[in-house]
Amino acid sequence: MTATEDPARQSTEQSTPAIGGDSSGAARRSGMAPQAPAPRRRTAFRTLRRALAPPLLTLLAMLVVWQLAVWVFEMPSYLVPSPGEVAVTIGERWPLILDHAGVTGLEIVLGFGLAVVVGVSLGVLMVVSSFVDKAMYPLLVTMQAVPKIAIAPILVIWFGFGPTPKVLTAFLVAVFPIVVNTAMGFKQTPVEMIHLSRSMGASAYKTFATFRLPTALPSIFTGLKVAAALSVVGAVSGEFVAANEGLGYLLLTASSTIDSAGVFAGVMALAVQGMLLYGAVELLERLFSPMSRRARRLEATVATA
Amino acid sequence: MNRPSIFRGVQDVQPVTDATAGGRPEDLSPDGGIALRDVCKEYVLADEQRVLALGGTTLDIAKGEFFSVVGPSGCGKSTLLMMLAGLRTPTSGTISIDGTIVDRPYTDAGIVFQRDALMEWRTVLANVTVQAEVRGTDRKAASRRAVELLRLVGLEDFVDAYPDELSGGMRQRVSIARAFVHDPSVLLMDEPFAAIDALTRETLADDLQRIWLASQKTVFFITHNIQEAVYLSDRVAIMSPRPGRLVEIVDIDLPRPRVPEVMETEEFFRLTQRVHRWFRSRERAFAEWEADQEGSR
Repeated sequence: MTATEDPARQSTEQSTPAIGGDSSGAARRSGMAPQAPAPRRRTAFRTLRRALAPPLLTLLAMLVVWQLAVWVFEMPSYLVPSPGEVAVTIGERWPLILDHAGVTGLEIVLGFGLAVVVGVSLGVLMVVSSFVDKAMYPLLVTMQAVPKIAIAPILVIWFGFGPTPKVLTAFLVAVFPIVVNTAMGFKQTPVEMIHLSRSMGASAYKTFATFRLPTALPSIFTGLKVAAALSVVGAVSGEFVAANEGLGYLLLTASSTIDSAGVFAGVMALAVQGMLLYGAVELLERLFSPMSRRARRLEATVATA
Repeated sequence: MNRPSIFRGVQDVQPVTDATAGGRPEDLSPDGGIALRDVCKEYVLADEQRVLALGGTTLDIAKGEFFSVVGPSGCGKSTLLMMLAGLRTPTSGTISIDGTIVDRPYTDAGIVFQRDALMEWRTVLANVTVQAEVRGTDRKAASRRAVELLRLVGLEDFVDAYPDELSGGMRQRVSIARAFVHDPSVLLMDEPFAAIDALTRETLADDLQRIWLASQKTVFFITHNIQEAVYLSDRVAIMSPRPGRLVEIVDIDLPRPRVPEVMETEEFFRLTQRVHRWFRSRERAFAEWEADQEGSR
């Protein structure tokens, strides 16, 4: 919503509080408490429920359609297992899945962590030093075009069958979006902001912390979220090439015995891992990105309106 | 054809630099305010070509004066402002503000740019008080002063709003409050109203006049709106491009505080016309001016 400079409209906004989401802004601005101030926790819960209900319902509908399709078309379970069968398989093989998920999870987290450290540092370096920028940027663009997964076999030759080549594949896949988004984020700081900061006598660090980092954070987190999903792909691809443990290995063995339910169970486990990592990044963003703190405040005021 | 060459500009300036080396120069801004002595700015392009952005400029702006510069885009107005702010160094010559030589970012200035450069993640109030945070001065005092300034520009109801809830005119008002909050000795404004619609522009100009009258700061104001320059200023300088130089300075003797009705007076019309003639037939006016300069030499 954009505020108006017309005092007449503003006063009507203030005199009719809280009809629809729009008026909450006016209520807050004029210093009035939002109508019916709900306890904080309840507000948060309602916000969560509003956010989660639509996708969960959609998911449920998809599962129902899937189950019905299997029944109606009498699909053989080696081709398309029903959601029920997959659930049973997951239940039966729970300890096995958990074991292999642990291996893959560690590879993902290490690969992603390495990508964050290297990617953010490189992104910052590219902004700080125009030499690094000029030296790295063309290479990065070129490397983007190389399918990183194709490098996995050579990594196996170099590092053997252990977790190292998987971690490295995950790292390679995840690092590019982080570097690019970090550099892009820092370059978004308007030059006027830098001028202002210098005219306030700010040190390089102060300029960085007060102006540059907050403008860059949303873009950095976008990069991290893309990277989180990609690092799962990287780790599994590494396992596909050569492995004797991990969810990728589990998927391959299930596939080779036409154990479709087993494959689905593995895919589910991978999806959960991807979502957990993504969720963790999202949580960090909510905690540290000033823009998202602002967005959350908006959500809260809309929810109480 | 004896145009001031780049190199002569440098040589001319030498004695002034010598004089300043010995301590506080007597001839620099004796009453405070801004003083420029033979200030040149030259850029070296990638192909080693040199471009003189600002030819030798000597100028005194009195303390508390509202001084405007009008000129076509790319004439070196912004370069001049950046050098006053100490964000760019002159190739030669000296700039001093309130008796201090400007040779590094000048921290006792308030700057307003065409783009408001507000921090979207901070409230209006926090956008203004960032000055105190970065400078490490008393935040509570700054906060009180910020609220007062925001009231002065009509934003008292928007102290806790975020920039994206404001219109363009309101955003620029916030950045004006930010430029005043640390009580600077000079205000440097680079086309602050250029991106604002014509109607809001006039009220913004009135707001600026009001704060300026209350604070009596020295203001260096860049615009390419002649009416605005005449309406606000004590003096209006006309700048020509390539190399940038001040070709005429017009005194504006309209009484203060000025109200919009003043724009309908004959005197106001006469003054705007006087500035305008430089731009109506620019080539001829500058050619005449150059011939004049040659003659006087």
